[in-house]
Amino acid sequence: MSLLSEARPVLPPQPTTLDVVRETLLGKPGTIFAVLVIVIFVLVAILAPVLAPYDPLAQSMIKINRLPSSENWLGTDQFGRDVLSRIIYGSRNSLLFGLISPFCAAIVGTTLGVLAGYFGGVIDRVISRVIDLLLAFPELLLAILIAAVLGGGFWNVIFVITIAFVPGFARLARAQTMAVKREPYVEAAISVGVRTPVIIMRHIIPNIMAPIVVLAMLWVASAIRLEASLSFLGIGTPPPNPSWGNIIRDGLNNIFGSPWPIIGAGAAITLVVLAFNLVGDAIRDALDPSTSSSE
Amino acid sequence: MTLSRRTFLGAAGAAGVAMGLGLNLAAQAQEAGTITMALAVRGLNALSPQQTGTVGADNWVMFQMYNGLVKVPDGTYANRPEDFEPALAESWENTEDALTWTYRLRKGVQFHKGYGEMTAEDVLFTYNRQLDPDTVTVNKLYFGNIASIEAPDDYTIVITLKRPDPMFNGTVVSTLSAAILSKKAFEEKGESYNFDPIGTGPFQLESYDDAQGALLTAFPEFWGEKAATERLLFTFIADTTARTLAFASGQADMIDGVRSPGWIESMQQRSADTVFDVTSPGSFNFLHLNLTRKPLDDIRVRQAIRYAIDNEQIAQAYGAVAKPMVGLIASQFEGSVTKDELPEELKYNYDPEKAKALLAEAGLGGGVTIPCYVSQREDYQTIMLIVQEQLRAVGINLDMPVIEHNTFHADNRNDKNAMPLNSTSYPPLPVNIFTQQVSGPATVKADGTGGGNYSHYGEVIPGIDDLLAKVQDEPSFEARVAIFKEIEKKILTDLPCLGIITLGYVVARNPRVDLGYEVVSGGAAWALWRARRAA
Repeated sequence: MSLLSEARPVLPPQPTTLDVVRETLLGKPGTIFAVLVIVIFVLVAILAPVLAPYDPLAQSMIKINRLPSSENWLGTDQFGRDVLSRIIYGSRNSLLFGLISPFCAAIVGTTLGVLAGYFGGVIDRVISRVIDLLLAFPELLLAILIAAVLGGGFWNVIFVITIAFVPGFARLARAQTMAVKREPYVEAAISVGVRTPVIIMRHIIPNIMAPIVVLAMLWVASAIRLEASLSFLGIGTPPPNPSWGNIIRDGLNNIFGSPWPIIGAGAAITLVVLAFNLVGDAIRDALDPSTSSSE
Repeated sequence: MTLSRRTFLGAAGAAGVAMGLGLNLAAQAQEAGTITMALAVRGLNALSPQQTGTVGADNWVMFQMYNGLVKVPDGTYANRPEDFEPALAESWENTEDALTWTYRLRKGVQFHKGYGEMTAEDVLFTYNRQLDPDTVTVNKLYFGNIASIEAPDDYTIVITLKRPDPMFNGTVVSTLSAAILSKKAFEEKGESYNFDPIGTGPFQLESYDDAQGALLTAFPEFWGEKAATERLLFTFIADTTARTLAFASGQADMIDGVRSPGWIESMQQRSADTVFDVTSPGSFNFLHLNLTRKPLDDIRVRQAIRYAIDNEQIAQAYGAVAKPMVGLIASQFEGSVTKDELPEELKYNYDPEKAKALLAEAGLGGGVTIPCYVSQREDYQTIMLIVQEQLRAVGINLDMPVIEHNTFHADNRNDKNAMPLNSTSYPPLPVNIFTQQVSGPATVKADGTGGGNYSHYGEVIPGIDDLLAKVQDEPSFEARVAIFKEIEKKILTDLPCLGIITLGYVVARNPRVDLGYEVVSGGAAWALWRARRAA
């Protein structure tokens, strides 16, 4: 019996992930708006030094708790710092965490998931039980737990959010790998003696990428929220550096002095999280056959 | 009664918050004979004055229930020996060498709840508990100078000291840790004295409960003028916003204030006639520079830091409740130095250019990063964030994580912090400031057995301990003041520890409550026995 000699019908080429993304993003006006919001915030983050009217750390004791004016568009906080500049610079922290953490989690989680799914046996059991253990804790609780031990700081926060997100990716990657592993082309590759690392890199990973990308996209919003929650609790971005979460935290104690830091940073979080969620949902709708309405 | 939209919203918000906290303030606060104060804690630790681990909130309640032999005037500290007032002792005298102190007790003073007359036996019991090395009590250190205490008769107490102390009434006798306990009640109740306290004060404890608060009622057999108000209710609302709302809606007559910039102004915007009772100086904020860490071991770097920190600007952020410091003694106290009496090189007027020049001279012209950390408590964090920004302007970056308050203090005591800010309040007794903050024996140790001298002054740079010994052997108050000034100048020369600002303790008070006196100075709790509430 030879698998190679058997004639197979030619299938139309599968749309690549990129094609789907492009189609999906420009499909509905709501999604276009969301993409626009994301693009604007990313630009704001990149161009923060140009756009921010003041140094976000510069204090002025003669300008404490000012209301919005032509000089300070969103007023000043209890240290006389310009709220708008802080929110603009804060977008850097928030977006960086939002993008880097799911990316890191995707790499770590996918690796673990593929190993577990491909090799099975003891490796699968060990990895799966650890993942189950982590899944038993809600993401925020897990993140707080680790952050409380490690303390705040840029890389610590990324580490924390990454760990919190790893189980989701690992679960997904494992399930996908187990499905792909039984595909005839993988069995064929095994039978002709292709080395295992090559099989994983060439045949497994490319075929499970789509759902992983979707999950990462969906979790950008969660990562931004998680960073804001951690900073709000005082274990995220350490002051005086602004992040939307710690702007709200600082503002809460001073809510009777000036509500504008809370309103501004709150609005920014709401807009960005909403936008990422809309985009994530759109991508999922496009890729997930059970919710697809395109046919 | 007309109800404006704003009052309604305020009241509704506060009621919601109060309900959420399980409080039932409204019913009790409506009675005109009750004054309600909301404290920034979740509950009390103990109401026994010698119990360890008590904090400001406990002091507030104990202050109403206990008396010492002498007292400081209402609303202030006693700055000088002649300022003290009689309490359980009608009169007292001391020998010229300030070593022997004789107190004549008031006759007929009754303890709460029928525990009988207060006599010399109770005074001996109280002081002996503090003097007994095997009994765990708070502030034992204060009593270390007492050589002996005797009672020649039921109404006389004679105390002899090891070293002269012209302010003995301030160091020991008027403090809460020397408040007189009922021997009979204490022996009968033991541990339960903590929440079933018996004192001689104008109020006695009626009931206590974390959720409902501590309810105090006027003591009908009080030895002095009877309390002006029938009931005092202390409730516990730790959350700043909830406490502010409880005050705004009138459910609390007095609340613990918030030490963050702009808080008083924002309260005044909401209701202009709010009264703010502020102690001055309040707490002292010291910035220790650890002499064992680079680059702080270099005097030029310490001078640069001194020139770069603008005490006036930090005080300005807080408004009227803060005052810039010059040395380590608050300007309100005897022994402090003013800039006018200092030589030019010790004035350290704010001068960022000079700071940069000094750093360049020390070889740090390109900037330097100093790792340290700060507590997340509002006052600590605010002051250090301003300091951080001022130092950034001259090229000193503080790499400063914000950590939990108890961890902050625990780590400081293990000598982990290069630049710890320390906020603490002192009565007008400069000896204590120096022995606790900068003396050799109080040097911090890595194993946590040291004291509060986080800079290692005395150990790294000697000299301070000789001056302190000299002051402690000096019976004359005036001569002591002169030595204090000498110490201040030495510290300004070596700069192991910088005085930043004094920050008043603030209580917001509804104008319908009249305290009966003005709060000017004193500790972070005061007597309410003359307070009245208009209906």
